[in-house]
Amino acid sequence: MLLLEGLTRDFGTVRAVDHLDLGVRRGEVLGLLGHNGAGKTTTIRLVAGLLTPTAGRVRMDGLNPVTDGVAVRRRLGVLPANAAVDDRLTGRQNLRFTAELFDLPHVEADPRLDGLLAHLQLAERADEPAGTYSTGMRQRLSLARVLLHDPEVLLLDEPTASLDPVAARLVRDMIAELAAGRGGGDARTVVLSTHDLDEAQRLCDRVAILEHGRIRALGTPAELAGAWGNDVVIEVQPDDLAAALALEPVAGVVAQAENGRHLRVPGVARAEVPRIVHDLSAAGVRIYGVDVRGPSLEDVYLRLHTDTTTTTEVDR
Amino acid sequence: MTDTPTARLLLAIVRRDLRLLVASKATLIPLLVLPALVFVVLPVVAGLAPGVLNLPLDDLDHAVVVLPDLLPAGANLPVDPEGQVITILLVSLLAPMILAVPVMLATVAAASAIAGERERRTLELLLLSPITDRQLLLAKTLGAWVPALVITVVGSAAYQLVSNVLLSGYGVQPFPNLLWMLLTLWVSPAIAAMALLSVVVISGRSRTVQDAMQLGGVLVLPLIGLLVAQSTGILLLTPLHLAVGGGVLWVVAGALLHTGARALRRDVLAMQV
Repeated sequence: MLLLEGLTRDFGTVRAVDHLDLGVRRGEVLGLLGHNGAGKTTTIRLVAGLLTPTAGRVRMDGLNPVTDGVAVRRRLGVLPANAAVDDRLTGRQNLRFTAELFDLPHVEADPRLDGLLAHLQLAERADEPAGTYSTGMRQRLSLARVLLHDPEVLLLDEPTASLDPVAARLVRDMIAELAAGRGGGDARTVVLSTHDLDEAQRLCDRVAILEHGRIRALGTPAELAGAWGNDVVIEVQPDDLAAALALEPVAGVVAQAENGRHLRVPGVARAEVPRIVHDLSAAGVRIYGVDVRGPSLEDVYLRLHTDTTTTTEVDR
Repeated sequence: MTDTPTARLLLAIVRRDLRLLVASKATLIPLLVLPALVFVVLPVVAGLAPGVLNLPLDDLDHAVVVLPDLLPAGANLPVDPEGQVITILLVSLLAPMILAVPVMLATVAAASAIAGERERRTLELLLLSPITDRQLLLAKTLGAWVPALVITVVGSAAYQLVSNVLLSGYGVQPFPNLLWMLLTLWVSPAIAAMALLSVVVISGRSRTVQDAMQLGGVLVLPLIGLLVAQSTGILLLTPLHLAVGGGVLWVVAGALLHTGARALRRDVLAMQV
């Protein structure tokens, strides 16, 4: 269990992380979303014990990263943003060095190392200097380093940022397998910082949306989407669009014209849809179709960042 | 899982640092060229120049009278005046040069210790491993100290061998002697430790290897002063000087190790990544 209690970190006068309270269960994948500077990377560094909190604390199975740093880092696998590898060492030498740092005996490290190189499609070039690798290969090598000592908790800062779609999918599948405990071993706890909202929606059990170091929204992707209502897109006779927009007070929601023939009504509870259709129809607006769409995580994210007043706490 | 024993952790980092050192021509070439110049070319030039260039030795008569007292006990001067000058030059006057080598080598190797990791963007990976701050400092120090020391000891042996060969023609073989044994095995390791700990600490605060090397280069200046003092007769090194001076250098190195552990705190380094 990973626990963040009132976690705060200041850099001079700037508060990067502001009283974060968060618990991550074993086997859970928690996504950290937010703009650049929202506090995602600082949060990961605080959990890893690289930074000392200004206030609050982190607990990992009762251990404090500040005072029990060595024990915590043994349990952690951290993929930093823009992770680097030693260019002058081969891929295999990079992994061997990591194995030595984590005191993995050869008999245990070698099969794991070979397995990871194969799984991450690096085996063929494992004995070439990492400096000759493509950006994607280096990122995969970095991920192999993170996984080599079989950590209980993974902190992954934008793990697919520089990967092509095929490699990104490979890494996402791997993260899902690790979290589910497939392929041997216990289920891993994963904290995933990402800008890829589609990735977060597909991989994460819960998502925390950060802004200015604070949690703006926390919950499962479905819960967050549910809390923000549906988008109703109504296809109408183009001549009636102006009349339909004028009916806003009747419909009780703010509608937008779209493509000259569609009316988009955002943030609508499902139960409201019949009433909106009825009001429009009663006003003589000719309706050719109604499409009720649940919002994606991207919709929630974008709305949160245009609405600075709302804090959504679905499950804290 | 227990904590990794310090020795194995240190060994892993030192071995990897040495591998990187050997892989980098920019670092390796100065590490080999400087000792070759000081330990082989210099004694050969010093030994052969007076004869080859037919240098007038009259002006050195006074020195030849004064300096024999400064030779280590048991080191005899040859009868030949030219041999006397060469012996004094090789045994005594050039002695401080040997100290410049470990300082320069340690500076080159240590400058890349932390700043190099930062430049290669691999520092964060070390900080994320289960290693304590003190282990990191020790590993980074040893990774530079070991090659500096090995090259100095081997180079010093080569210098003494070359000098003995050159002086055998004058009927003397002044090496090994106490002065040079103290220089090689007592003072050189201490001055290398002091220099590289200074550079590691500086390197922890420098953005680039070049910055660290430039700052570390300042450490050579006192040695140049020592060389001038020795060659002009202002200060002449004796075994007692070396025994005491070496002890002082070890104490300073110990203090720097303590300071370095505070200066290279993980959270300080992490802020610079």
